[in-house]
Amino acid sequence: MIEAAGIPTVTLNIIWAYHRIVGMPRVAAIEHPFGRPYGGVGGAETQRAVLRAALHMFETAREPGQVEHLPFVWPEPPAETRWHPAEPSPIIAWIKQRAKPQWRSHASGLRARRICARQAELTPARARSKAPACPDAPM
Amino acid sequence: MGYQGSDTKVLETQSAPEIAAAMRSEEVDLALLAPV
Repeated sequence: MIEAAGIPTVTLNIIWAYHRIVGMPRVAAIEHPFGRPYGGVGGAETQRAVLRAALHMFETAREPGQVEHLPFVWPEPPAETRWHPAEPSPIIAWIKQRAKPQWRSHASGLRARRICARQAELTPARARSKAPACPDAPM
Repeated sequence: MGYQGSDTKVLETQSAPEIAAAMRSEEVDLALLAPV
């Protein structure tokens, strides 16, 4: 609706592929962690550079749904991330308690299906016809 | 805009139009959105 009002938008997006579902006019994709799209706390130089790069897309974007991957790399690997608070926010606590088992189930279902499909590729056609069908993809 | 839940009715019929109108009245040239 902001675009419909004549105001162009760029979305600085951590999950840039999400735009394929909801539709975003212009996406400046960045591989930064949640809560830190511009950079780390106190990292004014990086924050300014990300801001300028995202704003630059207003000049360079040429087609609807364009995605530009910004060339910024978060300085520490996820396993070594130190900036999470000691006490998680309510949504993160909820995800850890309740949603994670669902994700695990989803991921294990996908893994099983990929393994089954790969085994089917490697199995001779005559034997394949006797093998059980691969499970359906999880929802 | 805040948390919208799964029902986007308020977002579509109230929040977004009011935000867009406010931005237009303030002569906003562009908007950089940064979901966190």
